[in-house]
Amino acid sequence: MKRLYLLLAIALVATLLVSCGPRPTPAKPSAENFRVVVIGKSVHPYWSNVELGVRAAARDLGLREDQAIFFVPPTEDVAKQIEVMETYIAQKVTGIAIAPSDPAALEPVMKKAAEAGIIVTTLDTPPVEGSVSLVYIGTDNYAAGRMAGEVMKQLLPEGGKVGIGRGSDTALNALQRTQGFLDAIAGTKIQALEPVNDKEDAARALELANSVLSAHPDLAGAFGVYAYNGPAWATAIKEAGKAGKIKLVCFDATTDIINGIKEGVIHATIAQREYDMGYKSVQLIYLIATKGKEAAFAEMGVKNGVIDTGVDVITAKNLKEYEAALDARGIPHEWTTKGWEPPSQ
Amino acid sequence: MTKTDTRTKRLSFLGRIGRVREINVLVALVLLGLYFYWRRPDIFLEPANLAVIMRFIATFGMLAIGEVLVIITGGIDLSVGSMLAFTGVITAWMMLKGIGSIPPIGVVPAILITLVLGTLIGIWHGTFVTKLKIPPFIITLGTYLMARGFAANLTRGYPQVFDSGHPFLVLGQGDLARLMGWEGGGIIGAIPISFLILLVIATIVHFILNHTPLGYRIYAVGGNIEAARLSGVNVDRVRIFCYATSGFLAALTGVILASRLGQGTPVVGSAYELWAIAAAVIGGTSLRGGEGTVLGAILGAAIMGVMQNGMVVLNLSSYIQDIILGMVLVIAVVYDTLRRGGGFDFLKKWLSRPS
Repeated sequence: MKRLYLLLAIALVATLLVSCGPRPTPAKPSAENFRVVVIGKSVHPYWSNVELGVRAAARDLGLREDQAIFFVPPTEDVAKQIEVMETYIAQKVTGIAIAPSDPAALEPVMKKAAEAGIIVTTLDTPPVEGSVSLVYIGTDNYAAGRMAGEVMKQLLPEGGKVGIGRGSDTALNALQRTQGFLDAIAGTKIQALEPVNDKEDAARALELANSVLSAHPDLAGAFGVYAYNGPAWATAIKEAGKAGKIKLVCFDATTDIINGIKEGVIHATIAQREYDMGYKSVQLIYLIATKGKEAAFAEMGVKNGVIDTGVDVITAKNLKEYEAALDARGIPHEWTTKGWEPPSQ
Repeated sequence: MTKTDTRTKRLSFLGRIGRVREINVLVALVLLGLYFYWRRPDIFLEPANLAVIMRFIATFGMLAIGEVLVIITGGIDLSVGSMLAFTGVITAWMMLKGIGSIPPIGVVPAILITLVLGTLIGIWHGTFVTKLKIPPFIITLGTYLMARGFAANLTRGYPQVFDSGHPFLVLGQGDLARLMGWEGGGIIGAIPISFLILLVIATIVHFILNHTPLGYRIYAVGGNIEAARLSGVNVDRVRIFCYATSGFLAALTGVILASRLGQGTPVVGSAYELWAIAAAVIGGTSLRGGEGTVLGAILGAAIMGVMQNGMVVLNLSSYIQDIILGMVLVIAVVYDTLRRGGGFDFLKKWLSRPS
């Protein structure tokens, strides 16, 4: 019991000491105490590229390392995101850009931040209707899914069955990509199977792709919604001895997807520009803080509260150009096209 | 004791089969298989499709065997799903990049080091549970978080991708036909190497549980830990052995999955511990400890594998799939519990009521 009292006493003194310290003053939007926080969703190559964008923007704007903070929870975790936001609201940072894992659940804490005078924007995942988020910076997932569907239409003029693999039945980006894809192929002879859901597990994605292939020997095409879905389909298709015959369209540009394109088993992939999302989030908040909203919006080309970062459609034909474009902007990639030539057609 | 023995002897052959606990699970499995075969006779029993199911059984059967051992002794291991991700990343990392300043090493040493690492983590769990009296739920939950965090941090999410044709990939992607150099080989040839490994592991663990003093002690610890202690069993060592085996099997599964996927990736193994525990429980393992068999665990994993595959073969909506899987789990466990606890007596009474 004595020890307990001692602990309590120490805790009390510590609290007193801390609260007696200099009160944090609200950060004035000046370059000196400007601080921006970018909050991502999970540890993933995608978010590593966002972080690179954040770092690059900070460098270009002449910010110190601790003035542009990037945070991701290890896996998607709404509670963690809320907690981190609370922490930075308490620290009175200048701006927060967040990719809400659950937009509705994050909205109250975003509102709290906005009321505390913090500039709030969203990236990657759009906020709820009527959100306090000033701007959404990211891919229009529906449009990107539609693009994938258009590519599939070109690949399968004769139609046929198409399998869809995705990591969630509820996440907005999975639903929008799928819907865009389905709307694009509607009215053609392409018949989409029920999407299979692997719950963001690469091994299950492969097992499900195997199952779909064995269930539908006449499968004509496949669509991978999340980054690892493309490689899962690719492995399953190769195992079935149908590489090149089954048309495979997927998302993102990880090393294994690029390898699939080089091998000819993946026909096209829709690459998002996540680096730009990180870069532009920092840039926009900085401009709003230093020049005001109107000037910043005009300079960044904000339309209806959105900056569409767009997508790249990568195929064997333009892979080398895509690599050159990445290199030109200093975006690192683990793959290379050295020693590989696109098939001549 | 002698009473039941004589009674068992007097039972007819069929009666004796009925006493094997796993028979219910086996019947359920066969019925499920028949249903899917009836719905899609052209596909369900095709070698390629059976290979999908066998791979599923290999993964979850292996993990479930580890869980069975731990659960028999009254524990639980929540770390195995994250351990898969961690060991898969570690093994790929050692082969492709090397850890820190250590250069990349060969396939066999990398696998061996990973297996030793998994076993050590299991021993770590066992030591905390036995010597420090930390609840197994907590200490393995710690590893659940740490292992996944470590895998994520090491890779920053980037999968470590093997070139196709890397010798390591045979382990997870190869089958019996490829191993023996057969052309085709039908269903037998399509048996994945991972499934063969499961059979070997299952045989060894089954033998240990049923034909060695260690196995007797494992059940004794689970049945009544104080009685076991008083009768001179080194209870701590027995329990540590079980956690170590679970850690070893999780590492082995992690290595196989990394080979299967052709990459070490942190996005693997989410909630696998729950699936493994479910497989064990469907197969008749009691979460209260003292009961559980290797055969049951594999049959439990097989039921889930057949369900999972069968629902895709039938092109069912994935929204519905989870509902069905959940119901199957509940029905299986409720049935088993009622049967063992004599809960069906009320049903018998009701049925034999004079009308």
